[in-house]
Amino acid sequence: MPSPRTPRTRSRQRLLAGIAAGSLIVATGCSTSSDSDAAAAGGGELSAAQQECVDNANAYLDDRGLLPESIPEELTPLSKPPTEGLTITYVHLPSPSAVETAQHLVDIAPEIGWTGKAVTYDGSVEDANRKLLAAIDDSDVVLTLGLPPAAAQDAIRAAEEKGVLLMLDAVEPPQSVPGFGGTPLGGDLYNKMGEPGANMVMQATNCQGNVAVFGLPFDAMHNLADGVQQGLEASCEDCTSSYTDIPLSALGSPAATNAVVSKLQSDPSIDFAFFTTGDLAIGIEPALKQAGLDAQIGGAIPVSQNLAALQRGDNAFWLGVPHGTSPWLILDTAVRALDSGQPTVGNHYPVPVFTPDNIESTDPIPVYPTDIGDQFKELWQVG
Amino acid sequence: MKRTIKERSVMTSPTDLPAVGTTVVDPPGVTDPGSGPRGRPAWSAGVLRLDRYSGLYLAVILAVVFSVLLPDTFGTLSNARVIAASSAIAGILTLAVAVSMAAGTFDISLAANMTFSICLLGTLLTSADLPWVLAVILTLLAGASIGAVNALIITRLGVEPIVATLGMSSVLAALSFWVADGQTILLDGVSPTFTEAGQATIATVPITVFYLAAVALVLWFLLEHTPLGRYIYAIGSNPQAAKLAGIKVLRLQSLSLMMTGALAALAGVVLTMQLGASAFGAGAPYLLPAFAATFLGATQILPGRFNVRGTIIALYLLAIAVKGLQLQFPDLPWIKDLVEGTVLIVAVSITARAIRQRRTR
Repeated sequence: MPSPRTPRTRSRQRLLAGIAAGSLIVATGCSTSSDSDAAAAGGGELSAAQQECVDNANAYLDDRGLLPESIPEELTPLSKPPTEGLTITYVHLPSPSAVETAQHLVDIAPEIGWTGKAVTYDGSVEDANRKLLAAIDDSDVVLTLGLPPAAAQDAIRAAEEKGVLLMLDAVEPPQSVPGFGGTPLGGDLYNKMGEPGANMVMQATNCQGNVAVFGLPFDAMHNLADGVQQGLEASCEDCTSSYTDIPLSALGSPAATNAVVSKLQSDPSIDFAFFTTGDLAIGIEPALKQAGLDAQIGGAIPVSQNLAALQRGDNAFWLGVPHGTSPWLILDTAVRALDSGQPTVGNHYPVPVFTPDNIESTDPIPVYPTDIGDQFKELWQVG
Repeated sequence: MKRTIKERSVMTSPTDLPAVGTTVVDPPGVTDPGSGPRGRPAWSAGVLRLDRYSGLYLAVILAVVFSVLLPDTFGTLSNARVIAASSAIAGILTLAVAVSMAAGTFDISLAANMTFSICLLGTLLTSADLPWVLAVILTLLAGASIGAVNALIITRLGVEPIVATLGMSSVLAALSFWVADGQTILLDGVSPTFTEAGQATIATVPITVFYLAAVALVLWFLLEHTPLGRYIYAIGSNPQAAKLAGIKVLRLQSLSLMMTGALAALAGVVLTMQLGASAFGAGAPYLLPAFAATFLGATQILPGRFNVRGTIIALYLLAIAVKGLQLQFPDLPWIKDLVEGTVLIVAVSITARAIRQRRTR
């Protein structure tokens, strides 16, 4: 595991806790009081370095803006409108978020004269490849998310042979058009999302945070966690962070909550829990209350439940990846790859930063910019 | 020597555990762990009764050790509350396993049943907009009905329990997706009393612990202090003998499977109350720990029998071990799976060994 995820507080130190109980209790007490004091007292008690760090975070967030009003400027107009009459097929997991994204994609494909199809696979690599090969036979563009290129070699070869654009949300660069030629929501997208995440954490903790980052064992989640931790390391000298992978089997269940609570209990100085996916934070508030923990909560890729907690003021912030936004980015990557004939990395995303002050609705997750479809269609020269 | 607890019949599966029921005569040299000082195995002699209470002692030892090692994280009241509360829902499901195992059958669809109940409850509360008490009752009835269908398949159609309930798990997974559209449903619009019923505390103890205690008390009384319980154990011990003795085997096995289904649904209801949301897929992770605790529980209090007190001890022994290790090694989230899987293997091994030893005596 990369060094940024290495926990700062070593479990071996806790083996000596029996001997050093007194000092640890004092340390814990100091930590707890400083957390609440910092939050309450604002910048008045900050050191010069901490104040500078907070100012920089505020400036970054002011400059960036929390709710994007336009799509990323790196996305430039196409040379010509997309060819009409193509078929794009999304081979997806039967998970709720994937189903929702797939449905949006099917809905918006006609905007450029395409036909959208959604095919579910059962989660196994074998079934994914089977469905991909079938889709390649009757589509012009085929997409799946969550499947690494190494596990889709047959599909990649088939796409090359049949002149089909295959898109995977991989960190690895795409290879050729046709073939594996696009990575929508891929490349360093999630790592870049870590930058606003780190700045929001710095702002929320007055640059004194001990941050526990939680994620799932996927490259995208690791990249996001790395982005947050790298941002903290670069800009916040008094911040500390650690990373914990939650087993995929625990996703959506109290087993995940228990693992998170145990991590926070194990180091009472942790004052911020950052979740790289909102599913891991469902039900976390009552669990923390029960355990007597008062860490702030925030993260990325929220679900409606997270935003409801945000609306209640129970969470600090969430970096949104709305289901209403992603399909536009997927289509954009596809039309760019076909327009240029070159492999295209889809790593530009208008990430909204939701806070208790700006969250307007929780279901569906609000999309920003609000006229995202019109802005993309302008770039694509359609409509 | 005339005794009331013995079983040496041919067993057809690991679930056919020796239990109370028939009056038999022991051959020379056969000892009964639960029959008094003269019948105890040599290793368990003494007031400690290690053969019955080793899990309890181990739980206390682990609690003390972890409290010394981790005084500011493990050895705190809030952590005790966390352990108690986090085990309550798993405990209800574990007792559900014990009920069917006691009757000589088993149901691995109960985690899927729990998931389905969560989805159904969420839908009844939001889409159907039913009062939560009515929604809970309907959900419990649905859980019991699933148990009844399992019973029908197992007892009437003669399908092996593992096959029948494995198939039912898949059916329930599909139904869950259909009912909830694969979504976790937020219950913001539901009466606050619903979530209070899952999140309240009584004397700082989470209310879910009281739910578990109530279920455990009822089942303990039912299984160990009523004729019905003795019949269930007799069936679990030897269904043929029980049938010859006039016990309605199929009916009682069906009843136990319905109870299992209702308890699985109850676990789902309590979890939904606790979370304030009907979390899609939340039941699945409970399956392994429930079976692990049940088998471990069969080595406690009344060794060789699936019993309520042993199950509760096993449940909290596992919870203490897992929590202590999680706090000791917070960056190893797979610790829980490792412990529960190991315990399941070891506990089943011990139980199977006990059965083999009894057969050869």
